[in-house]
Amino acid sequence: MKSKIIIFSLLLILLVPSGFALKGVGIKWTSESAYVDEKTPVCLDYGIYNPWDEDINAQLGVSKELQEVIRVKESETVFVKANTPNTNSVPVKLCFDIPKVYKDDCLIAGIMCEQTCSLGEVNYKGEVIATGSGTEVSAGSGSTATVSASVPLEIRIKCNQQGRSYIELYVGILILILIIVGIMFFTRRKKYVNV
Amino acid sequence: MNSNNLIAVVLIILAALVLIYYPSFGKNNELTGSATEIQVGSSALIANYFAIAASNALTTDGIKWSGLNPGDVDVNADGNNQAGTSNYFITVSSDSNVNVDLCVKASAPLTSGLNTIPLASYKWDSDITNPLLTSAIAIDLVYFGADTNIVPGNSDYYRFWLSVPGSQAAGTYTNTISFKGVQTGNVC
Repeated sequence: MKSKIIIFSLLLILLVPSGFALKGVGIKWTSESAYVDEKTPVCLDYGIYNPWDEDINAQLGVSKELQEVIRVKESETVFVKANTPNTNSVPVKLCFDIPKVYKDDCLIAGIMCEQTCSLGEVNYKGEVIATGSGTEVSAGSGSTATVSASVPLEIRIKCNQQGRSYIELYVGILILILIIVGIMFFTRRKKYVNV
Repeated sequence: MNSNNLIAVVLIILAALVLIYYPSFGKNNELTGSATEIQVGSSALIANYFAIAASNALTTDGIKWSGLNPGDVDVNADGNNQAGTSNYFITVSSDSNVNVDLCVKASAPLTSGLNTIPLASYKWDSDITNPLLTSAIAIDLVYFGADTNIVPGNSDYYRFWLSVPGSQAAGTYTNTISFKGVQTGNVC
């Protein structure tokens, strides 16, 4: 009798569909900060993995604090098979367009500008969040559950100090001199021709 | 002033501008001395990783209450399993190389059409073994810390309780509960 119970239990375990599989997402990262120039595109590398029993479609995004100030290019949704270890994580690039954040001090309408960086460096802090889209299932009545893994990200934008550039002034003066010289030369030449 | 003098003046001004604009003009930029050392770059890349998963009760069934009535107080969610271990848990994968803190929030109050059940009526507690009603707090719309320093391979257990206001309208009330894992020490 005992052996029959054991055999039956084993058959039950083998034949009943796995309704107890865990479903989730994993994230792998090598950096929590980036030191970047303004007005440049930046891409950071992450890995998404799935050591659990069910396949997932995962997406990498950023928290609201980063979305508001940095234009995040769309990160792809990646399919990650069940039992994908961190050593085989699916590489995902998270790309940003860093805006111009430091205002130059210009004497006249965008020329003869300088950047003193007197206000210090601009930092943005937020999170990079990996969400497994396969984890959300309609509950009917009650709460559905989602699972995500997040890592912090701080983006510091370099301020490149620059003294006031007078090149436009020099070029302007040079052009003016050349114009004056040209006028004088041709005026004199005309006088000699007429004589 | 004749044209030859004028041209000379212009050339002098040009030369002055060049000298002002290129302050390093005339400096010797050649490397002097003999190099006696070689510099080689070195780097070390450290990767952190962790994975979390929700239990079957969370991912397949969700957090459900069956047979609620207006006026009910602190009713156990179907998966609370007070007699044993809660069916609601989050597991940190054993291959993670960092410990994990877990955070919980709601997307909105339980809502059915225009009707909602207040967030204050939706309570939760977490524990690595036995979450209790006596320790439960109301769910919030921002992430709130559950348990911290969850070691890889271990789970964090949750229980949920719901109270229904006496005048609550009938309906199917739904929302989303989000669980987020962060490396221990980071904020939720």
